[in-house]
Amino acid sequence: MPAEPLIRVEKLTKHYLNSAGLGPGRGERVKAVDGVSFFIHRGETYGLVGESGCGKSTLGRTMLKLEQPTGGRVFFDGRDIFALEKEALRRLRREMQIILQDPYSSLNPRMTAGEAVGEALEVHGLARGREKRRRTEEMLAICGLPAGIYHRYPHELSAGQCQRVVIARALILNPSFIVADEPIAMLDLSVQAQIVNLLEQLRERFGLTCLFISHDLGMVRHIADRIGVMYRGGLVEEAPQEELFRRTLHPYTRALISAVPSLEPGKPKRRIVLKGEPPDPAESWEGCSFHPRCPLACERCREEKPLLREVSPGHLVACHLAEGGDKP
Amino acid sequence: MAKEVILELKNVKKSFLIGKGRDITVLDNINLNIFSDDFVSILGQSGAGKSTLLRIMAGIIEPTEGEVLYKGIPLRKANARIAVVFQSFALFPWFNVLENVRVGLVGQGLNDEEINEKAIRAIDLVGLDGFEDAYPRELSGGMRQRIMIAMAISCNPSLLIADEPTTALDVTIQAQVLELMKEMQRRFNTAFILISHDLGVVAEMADRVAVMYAGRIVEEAETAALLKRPLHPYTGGLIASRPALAGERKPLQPIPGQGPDLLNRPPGCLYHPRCHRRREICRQESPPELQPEPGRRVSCWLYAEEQEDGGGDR
Amino acid sequence: MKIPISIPAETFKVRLIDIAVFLIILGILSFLIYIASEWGTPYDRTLEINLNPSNIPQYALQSVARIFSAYLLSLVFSIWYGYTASRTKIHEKIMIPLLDILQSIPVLSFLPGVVLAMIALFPGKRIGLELACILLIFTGQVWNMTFSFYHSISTIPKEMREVVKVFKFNKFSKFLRLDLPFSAIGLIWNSMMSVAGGWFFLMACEMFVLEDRDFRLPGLGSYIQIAANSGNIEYVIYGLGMMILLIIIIDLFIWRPLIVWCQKFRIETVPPEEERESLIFNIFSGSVFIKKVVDTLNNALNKIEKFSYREFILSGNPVMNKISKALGLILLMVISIIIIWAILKASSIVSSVSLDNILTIIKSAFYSLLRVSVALLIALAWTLPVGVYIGLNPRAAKMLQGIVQIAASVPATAIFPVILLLLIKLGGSLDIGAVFLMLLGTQWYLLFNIIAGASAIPKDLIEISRVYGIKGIRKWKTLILPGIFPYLVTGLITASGGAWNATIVSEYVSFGGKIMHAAGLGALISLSSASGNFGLLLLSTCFMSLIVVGINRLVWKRLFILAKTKYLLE
Repeated sequence: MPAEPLIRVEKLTKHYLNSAGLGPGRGERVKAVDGVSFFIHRGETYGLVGESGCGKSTLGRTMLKLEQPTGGRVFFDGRDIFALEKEALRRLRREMQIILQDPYSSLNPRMTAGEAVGEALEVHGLARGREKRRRTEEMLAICGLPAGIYHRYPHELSAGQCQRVVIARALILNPSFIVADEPIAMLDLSVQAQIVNLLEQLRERFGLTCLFISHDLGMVRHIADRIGVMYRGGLVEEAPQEELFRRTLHPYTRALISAVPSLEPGKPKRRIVLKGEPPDPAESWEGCSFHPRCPLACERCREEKPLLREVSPGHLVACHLAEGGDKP
Repeated sequence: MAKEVILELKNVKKSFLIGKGRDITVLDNINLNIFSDDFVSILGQSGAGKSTLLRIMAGIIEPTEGEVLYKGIPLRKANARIAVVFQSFALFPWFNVLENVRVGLVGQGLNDEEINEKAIRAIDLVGLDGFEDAYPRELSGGMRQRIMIAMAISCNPSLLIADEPTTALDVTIQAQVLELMKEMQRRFNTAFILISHDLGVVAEMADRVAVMYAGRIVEEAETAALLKRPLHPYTGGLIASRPALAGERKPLQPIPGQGPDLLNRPPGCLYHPRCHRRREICRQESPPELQPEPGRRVSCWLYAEEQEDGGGDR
Repeated sequence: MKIPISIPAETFKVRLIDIAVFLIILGILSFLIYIASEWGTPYDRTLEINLNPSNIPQYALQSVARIFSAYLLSLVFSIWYGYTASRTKIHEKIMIPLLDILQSIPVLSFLPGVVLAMIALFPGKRIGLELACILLIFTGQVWNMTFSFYHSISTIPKEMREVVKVFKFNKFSKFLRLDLPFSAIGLIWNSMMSVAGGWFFLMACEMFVLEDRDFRLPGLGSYIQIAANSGNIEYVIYGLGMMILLIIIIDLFIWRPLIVWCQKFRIETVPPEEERESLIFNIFSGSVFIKKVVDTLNNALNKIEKFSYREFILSGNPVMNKISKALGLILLMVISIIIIWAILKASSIVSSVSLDNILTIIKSAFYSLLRVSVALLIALAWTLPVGVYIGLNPRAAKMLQGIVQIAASVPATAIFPVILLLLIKLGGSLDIGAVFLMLLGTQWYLLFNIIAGASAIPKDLIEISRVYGIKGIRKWKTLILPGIFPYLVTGLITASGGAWNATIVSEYVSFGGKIMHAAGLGALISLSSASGNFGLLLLSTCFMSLIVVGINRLVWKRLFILAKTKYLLE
């Protein structure tokens, strides 16, 4: 394997104190992200999938230190982000940008598209006046927006156009790493494909490294080189895209894949329907975090928490029954 | 079992006044028949008019033109047994599960015991027994959706309309809810209308699909046939813009451009600005509804002359 | 998932609570009987308020009775008015501006009319004066509750209204199961404000001078006034102490539990940062007796609801329709006649006002306007930074919430005597002192709205600002101020309304046997009310109303529309 990965996450942990609700669980620690480790190579797109409450969004934000981490370290190009001082972190932030789910709430409704994108340049002292305007217009065009968009306000734009503005703003600082947190979840199907294609083009053009967080397995499969599956704060399986689908090892991943409705009617769907509900993040127990819903759970699963182990080159899984590298 | 017609929409048109004497046509020339053993899906993206259509079918609003018949009688006069499963934010947050389900039975003229009995039976059927005392905010999205389904089936409707029932849910929970809905249909033989923007959900659940674009039904066919051989370019575009979960990775082919501006309706076919197969006539005139093959309807000039083009595959 | 556990009913603790609750209910019943007997007595014109502190409790009880009677009246009125106003566009166009005007008329302006009317209805009986007092308190409580209820039922989410239509609810079901629960939270919070308003105006309503007749009712308000007039600071403090004690008790035993209970009516699906708790609520909800009472109530409501679905033979009948239409027309004619007569009467009274007086009115209006503006500016100066800080820091909010709530509910008028004392000592005039008195009554509205606004700024935007390192003045200019703007405007509207209302009691005070007054519209109104100069009273009231409503429409409403269109951070 080549050089040092651009991003290396080591045992990242984020706990919350559960202050909501009057019932049991109040005041207890919610382990939103529980000791997650992975890495992303330069130019690679890592897809992080999971359902609501699994902690993937929290992971993305904690990596950029938008939330205070409880433990662990994140290395950007070999430098420990969390150990940096305020000013150094601020400068490093230029290299790492984030795209959020709701395009409208990411943009200041009082600013036009052009002002929003240009503001980033100004705040970091990179360009002013005419130069700023030129670079802004250039980036808006690269993101597929027509020229008149510069003077439009967010509420005058469609969701797809808004998201393009958000992307333009993220890229104008020429970052090397982008975290995209459910960037297409709020868009129409036909627009989703447009935005995904745009992201792919931009990735090619700028050589971006990307963390693509989504619950949409289909899209993640399409865009990612490697995929990590999260469940209840931890990674349960990680593999290159093709391998994950060809030889799915973790029962949760299998259920996830089979739950996605397919476009081939008539083919009988052998669907694995999981019993129960996605777990309450405030509850915790010994053993495997998935065992209450797992159709294959055994005694060992109840007592011992499985560790994420590499069972074949590049393919990691956290399951007692998958250790042999064969399908359980 | 005799198949009877439950709902008929004839030339339904709906416009709204939006001040300064302008109006916007949200639905145009809708013709649709629903039979008692149908599972029909209405597929469309936002702005296609699905929610307005839903409200007209449920009798909440009246069409500007055209008629809606329930078992042959005009809907507003009929004592229609139509239930709606809204998206989960239509639950009463201050009632617990049991009270919420009872709410559906209030206007039926039953006495207390009967209401309770029906409510509890419905809660049982959707798998929420034990949760009668819980409040919606304590429950997950999937469970809330099941409450809505219980509310809908408790009065044994002849038609059940589900509005994007699984959109806000996780994929594994969506699977649960979809299985539940299939079971409900088998058990009660209710006619089902499923409104969705998700091609996959539609593919799995419906026998028949009506594709909507900009307020018109542009194509209607049996699901299998539609997916294998879409006739309307929009349908084809939707299918092609979705990534597959198996097979090799192919580049996505999104539909270019954006949704139509209903305020400034272009002349001719509303889809033509984005259509890669458009012709001159598409720019000028709105296409009529055609039946190129039995069991299939499409609104597209490509099929007007029954030429060599009568295949329309992609 | 949390499956609620039902508390087993057979525990010793619960039985004790049952007894306690039973006793409380017994106490309330005897209280009601006592009040009824008191009010049935003939009116004693020479009623003396006994300053002996041992009388304070019974005076206090009577004041509480008045305030809560006025509140119940306000509740019924709000619901009726809210429904009627939302019937048709025409209703809405007339009744809502009318509400605006009514809200701008200070309580004291109603005083002569209400008092004289009630005394004429019940000559010689004390019940007449009591009713007058209750009605006056009512005019200080009802308007904001009406606005709240109307606003609530007009903003019911579309989906919920549609569900109700699909299930074919009738009007009663809709009211019981949708409208009422949906407006519960707004009503309860506004009830808190209204009852606080009742305390605020208590002193002015229980004891007043009208056409050099001295009216007084036994109550806490008159007690404090008399004590203050006779310069007896010690007794004033006793009276104030009682008032504060009552306020705290009501807060603990009524408002806090109610607020906890009404959380079940929240619409958001995401629980808020912290849930409110009340020990009393927990105790009450464990009581079997209360459970039984609640169950009986529920059953009764269910029965009424079912009954309402019965097909009434009369409802679709065309004859009945004609009769109700005719009745409606007659009512309309009667109301029009009354309005015309009132206008004629009023103009004749007003024409008796001399030009000199009119000039005085204009000058006084100007001074009051000045004072209100200064008070608002001072309030803004401190509530803006504090409010934004609290709003953006939920932890700070938790800590300060309780303190601020109690501080806000203590009526400023109760503290007036103390402040006035200071004023006299410092030798200042009421012209300036009135500003501070007004400040006390209005700054809380501003603070609460700013806090609400700051906490409503979407978290996403705050995060993005952090990522881009936007801070300082830039942050205020582009993020905070635009974010809180709609709330700020709402707060300013309420605060300025409160300030104008407070001019009545802050520009004209009687203290230690002396009467102090500043040059202002409020003073003019108090003066003319006391001396029975109806013409002056009417004209100055019209003036004040005109100014308040005028500023509302021309300044505040415009700002509000600006806020909604340009500054919406949603």
